[in-house]
Amino acid sequence: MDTRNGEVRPGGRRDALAMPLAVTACALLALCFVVPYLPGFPRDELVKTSLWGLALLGSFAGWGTLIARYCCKGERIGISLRTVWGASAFAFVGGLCAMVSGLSRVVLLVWLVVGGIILARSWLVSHERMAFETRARLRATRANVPLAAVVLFLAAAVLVHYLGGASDVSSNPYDDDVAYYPFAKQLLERGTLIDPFSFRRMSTLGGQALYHAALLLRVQVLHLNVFDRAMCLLLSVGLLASHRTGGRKAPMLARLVSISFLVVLPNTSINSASYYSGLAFFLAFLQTLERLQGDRFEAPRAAMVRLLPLALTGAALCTQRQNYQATVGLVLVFSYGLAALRLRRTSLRPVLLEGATALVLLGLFVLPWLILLYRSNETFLFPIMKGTFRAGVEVKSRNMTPGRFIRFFADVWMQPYPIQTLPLFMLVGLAVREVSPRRPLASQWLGGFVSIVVLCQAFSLSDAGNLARYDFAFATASALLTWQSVATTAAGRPRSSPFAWAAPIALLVFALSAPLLEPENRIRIKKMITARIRDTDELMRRTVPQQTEPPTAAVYRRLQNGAPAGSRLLIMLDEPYFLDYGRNEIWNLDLPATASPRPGIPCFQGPEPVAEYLRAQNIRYLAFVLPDRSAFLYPRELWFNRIYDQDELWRIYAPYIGDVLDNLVALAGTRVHVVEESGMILLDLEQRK
Amino acid sequence: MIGLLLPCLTSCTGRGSRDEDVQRRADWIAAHTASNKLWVRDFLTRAGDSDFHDALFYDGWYPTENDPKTGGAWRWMGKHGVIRLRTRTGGAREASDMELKLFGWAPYELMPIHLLRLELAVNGHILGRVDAPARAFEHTVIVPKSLLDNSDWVDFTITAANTIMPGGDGRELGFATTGFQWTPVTAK
Repeated sequence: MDTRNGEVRPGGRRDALAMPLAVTACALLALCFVVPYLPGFPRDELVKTSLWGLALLGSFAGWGTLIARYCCKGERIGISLRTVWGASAFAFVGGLCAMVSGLSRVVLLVWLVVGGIILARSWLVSHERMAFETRARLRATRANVPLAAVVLFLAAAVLVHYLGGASDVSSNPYDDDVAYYPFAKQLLERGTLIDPFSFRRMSTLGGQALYHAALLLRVQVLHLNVFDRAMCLLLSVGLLASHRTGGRKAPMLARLVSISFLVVLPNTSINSASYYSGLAFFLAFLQTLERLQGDRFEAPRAAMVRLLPLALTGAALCTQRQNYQATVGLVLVFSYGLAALRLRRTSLRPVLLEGATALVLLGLFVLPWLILLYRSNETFLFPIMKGTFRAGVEVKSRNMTPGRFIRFFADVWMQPYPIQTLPLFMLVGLAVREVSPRRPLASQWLGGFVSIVVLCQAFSLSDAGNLARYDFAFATASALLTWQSVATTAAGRPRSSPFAWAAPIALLVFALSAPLLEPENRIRIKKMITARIRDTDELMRRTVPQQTEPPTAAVYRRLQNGAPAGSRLLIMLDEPYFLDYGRNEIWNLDLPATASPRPGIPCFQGPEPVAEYLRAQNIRYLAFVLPDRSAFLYPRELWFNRIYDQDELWRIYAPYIGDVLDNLVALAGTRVHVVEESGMILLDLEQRK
Repeated sequence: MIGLLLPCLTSCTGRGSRDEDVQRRADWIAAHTASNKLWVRDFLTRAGDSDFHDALFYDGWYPTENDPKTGGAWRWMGKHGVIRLRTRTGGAREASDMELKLFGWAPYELMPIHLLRLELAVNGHILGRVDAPARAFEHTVIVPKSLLDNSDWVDFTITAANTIMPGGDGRELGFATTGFQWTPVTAK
């Protein structure tokens, strides 16, 4: 069997089924793109959401295949890893477009369709290999029926997750409705992400919103969970299934264990921000780092090609969640630092050059998003660089003493939820002897550990429970890769030395099983699986036509239509994702007063200075929900109670937000109401009553 | 280019991001919590930022509770409650005699025996005992300089002679404070 250039050519014999198989695969891919555009399809909410998610994955896989062909000639790269590489390239290109306000439906659609075509072409070109691999898998299934049954069972569980994620219409009204969904709408309808009054905009670069925007082409806003909870979970499973350490796949049993663990691990995410997407991209990032095996360190030009997938994936991670930036940077620093320590006598210079190249490329791919953030909020790196953040509002505790910090860190590190045994994984991960001088396993743990310290320091007003969500992605990725790496190493050891691998394997088996037996986790696992099945069942059962627009949307439209098209609109509304971001430039007071362009929205000075300030910002129209009518984030009582909240975070924010709420109500008493409906008012700040 | 770099440097160095709301914020909070009659020191809301660093609820205190209707806030302790106090306040180099004014109430109505004695101590030195009345009260303790000279912080401990576990609450309650004031005696 010839495997040159990734192509498999069975010696002389052609497989009659090869081309039909490839054509069938291409036809299915085409259906994923076409069906979401067909009207009146039965069960269309579920069908369209699921298929469009697969179409996106297919498109990313196409672009990833192109990257693999260019950067990893002659190497076999699994489709999951290629998909993440392609998705990362999409994040870079999307960032470039958004930076110059050039993102649009057409751009997104063209990019996605071209990706799909590239994938289809690669299938047609390598149809023989595809058929060979399919036959090999079928033979393996027949050879070991019990194992095949387990694989099928797991596949069914993953399908339940995928369909459940696609059917999951739950949203967090305090985060998603107010900010994250509008970000996706703004990217799609306005082509950029400028929101100088938004605290959440400061705290994220916008990568996750870009994927949501691509989904919004054919998926309803309430189904955006499909990205994180379905597509990225599927990707994670694929990445675990195809993971290789030192060129060898982990034993089948080890892979099944880690996939089972992931499938039943409770989902502790509370909104549509990065959770499983972080896990999938970290799995890919760390696997890409693992692929850089050997003592060979390239000259900068060759290294640039070799490091391209690594830097792209790292950059995409940086755009997904703010704290991932530190982790990605630290993993690279530790990796090349450890390599430099090991090879300092022989080849220090190439190591340092390659490391520097990786970091420079990483910076280059994040740059468009950084510039976009600067355009929006005058910062590249929040919270180090404050930008339009209000000085009196903090994300760091002022009561933090060294002792308290240690206690806080211990809370976060010793009881990471949902994998409480994380320190055990780290212990084993650091103890494993690695062949590669880059020490991928050790560097991911060291980088992850230090980044948690940084996270605790930078966001000391938070708590262990919330920070567990922030470190879930890289901690879980590191834990699962540690398990698979150790299992691979153990499988390759001679049978004469069982004790060398028995201890780490035993520790990891305990570390994997203990969290699943923990009572609270067991309850959450049951709830999660029940919810996935229930959501899918609900959408399968639903026979009424899809509701294209809820009645509330019309109210939002009438409110917006009160302001002239093209005018700048400042909003403080419960569900601003119903607004048309293409019609007006919309700035969002998502957490009022925490962020605002200099000199900052006046606080504690009454309503008139606020009106003057807004007019100076060229804002004439102000749409807001009355604090006694707000359903979620803006009730007056909520914020006035928080003046006494136990959490220092809310005690800091409450007076500012409370003051803005009072000022807006006071302005409503003196300015003309252009529209007033359902507790929402559109004010014309220029016209007094 | 300069237009890009200048605000960048300004932001990184912290210039232009001075907290200009300190006093206004404190006044606003005071105005909006005026109905809390015993609210003397704003120990929860960070008003007077520098002062806030001078004391912290260290141990033995339950989470803060409040009544949204009146704006009142309080914090219960069980048998013991520790407040950690800075010995040198307001940037003073040397310690001086300090005055701790404590506001609160004891669960008088809930107690079968009306013996609600509170013992007040600094670093184990008992400075006073107070028999809590049936209503809310304030009590002042003078902490001599000699107890403050040798460390940056001291622990002020309140010990309740009796506690009660009200039905349906499940907590052991000894004393509830609505705030306290920690100031140098010379400042009076």
